[in-house]
Amino acid sequence: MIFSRARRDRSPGPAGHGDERPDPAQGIVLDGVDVLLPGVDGQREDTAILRGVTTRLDGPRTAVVGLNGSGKSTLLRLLNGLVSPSNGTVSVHGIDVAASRKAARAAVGFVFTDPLAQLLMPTPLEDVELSLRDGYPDSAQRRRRAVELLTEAGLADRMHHSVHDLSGGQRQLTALTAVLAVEPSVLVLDEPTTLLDLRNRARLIDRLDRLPQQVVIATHDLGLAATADRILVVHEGRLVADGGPELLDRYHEWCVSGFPGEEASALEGTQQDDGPGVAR
Amino acid sequence: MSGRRELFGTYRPAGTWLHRMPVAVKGLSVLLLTLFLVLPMDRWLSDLLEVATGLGTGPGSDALLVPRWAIPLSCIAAIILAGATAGLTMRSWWNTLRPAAPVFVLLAAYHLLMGTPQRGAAVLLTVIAAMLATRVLLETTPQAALMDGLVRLLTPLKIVGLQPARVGLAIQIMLRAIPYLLGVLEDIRQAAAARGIRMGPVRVATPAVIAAVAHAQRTGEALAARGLD
Repeated sequence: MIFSRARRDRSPGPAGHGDERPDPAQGIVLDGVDVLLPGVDGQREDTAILRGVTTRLDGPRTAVVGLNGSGKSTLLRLLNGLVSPSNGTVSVHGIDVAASRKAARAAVGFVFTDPLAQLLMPTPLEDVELSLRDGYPDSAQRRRRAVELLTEAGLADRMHHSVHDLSGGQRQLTALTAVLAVEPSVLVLDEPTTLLDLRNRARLIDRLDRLPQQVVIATHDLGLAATADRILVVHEGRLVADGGPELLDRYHEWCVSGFPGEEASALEGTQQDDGPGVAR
Repeated sequence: MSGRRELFGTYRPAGTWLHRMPVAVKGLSVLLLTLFLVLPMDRWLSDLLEVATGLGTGPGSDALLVPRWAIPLSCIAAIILAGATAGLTMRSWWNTLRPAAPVFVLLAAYHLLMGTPQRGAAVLLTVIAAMLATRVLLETTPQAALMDGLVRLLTPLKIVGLQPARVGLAIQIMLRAIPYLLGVLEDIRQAAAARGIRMGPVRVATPAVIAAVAHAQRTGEALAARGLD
């Protein structure tokens, strides 16, 4: 287990806000999900970004790994409705994402690879305040809460700086704080350590470790993936393997010894022994 | 990258009188100052002085006792003085004016060609005064407070179906986009220079438009992901 790392006992956190109350006990369920890119004027066949994905995620931490262009980010974007399935259904903690997109987005916090893409306000304080706008109509209370959250995140001395002047790690922590401010019941992170140095990576992992929310992470960072309880391997739009952190050794071996286009036969069919997930 | 925020400036927390002043008073002051500058105050003040002192430039003369450029220049001096008490430095003023320098040159050239240098000076100084006053407002007021003020101002328009919070957010995103896009132009020029290529305005336009569309898409996605769409 070269990527193993001590894991702590964690359970999905409290329900967040939204039109429908999320119920963590119901997990995240993808049933027969296809995401297809339509062909042009019927002259070309549809391109499948994801094909026949069926799985259920109940554990507190899930890592989705796979090569570039394998469909990891699309899989994550299904969870809060940024991408809609062409076929199949997605439900998050009992919320049908297609039918109740607003409730799904309130329940699922999404952190992008590049935090600058999601920080909408000029300073961390103002960005966190933006997240709190609905929950705290009073501006003084809103500001106090934003200051508290940024202080907890270790950003007290940076809250008035321009987001452009923050380091990559500080930006990522700001984005994470802004997302967590609305208390989502699921946190989804798309390659969150890609732009971070080792120290900031460690800070982010430590912060994620302490969260009560169910977390789903797409990553190339196998050290980060090893902090998860469950690993999903996506290849060419299909969920080809599903297991515990021990799967990462085989995945790593397959990555470094394989070549682009090579079939993932070495990984296909792997299933989690004691979990509900089934790789198809 | 920091140049991207320099056009409008960023709120710098402090406890000065300008920081403590209510946002409504500051916003109204900037509005009134701008209105004051675009009104023909030079003519009115000249007429007033003529009546008060008996000095005149003769009946039917267009000559003014108060030069056209004197009023905006006085306002600029007052704004700089007020800004200094709130901690705004010369560098801060320069960062505001520098990106607009090409526009100033065009305005000046136009008025010189048209033979109206006094009017040109007045127009230029009026634009500069309005920009500097806006800079003071933005550097001494958190953007969230500005948005709250704007939302309160627009609240009566709810009766015609306007959503004030949505308008406030749209304006904030627009404010954020302008310096970002100026930064994109700078990045494109630097990328071209790094490859030994000189790009004219037309060639810069294509990658700039693509970057602008990409930025809009990312912003839209971020808004959607945060439930703000």
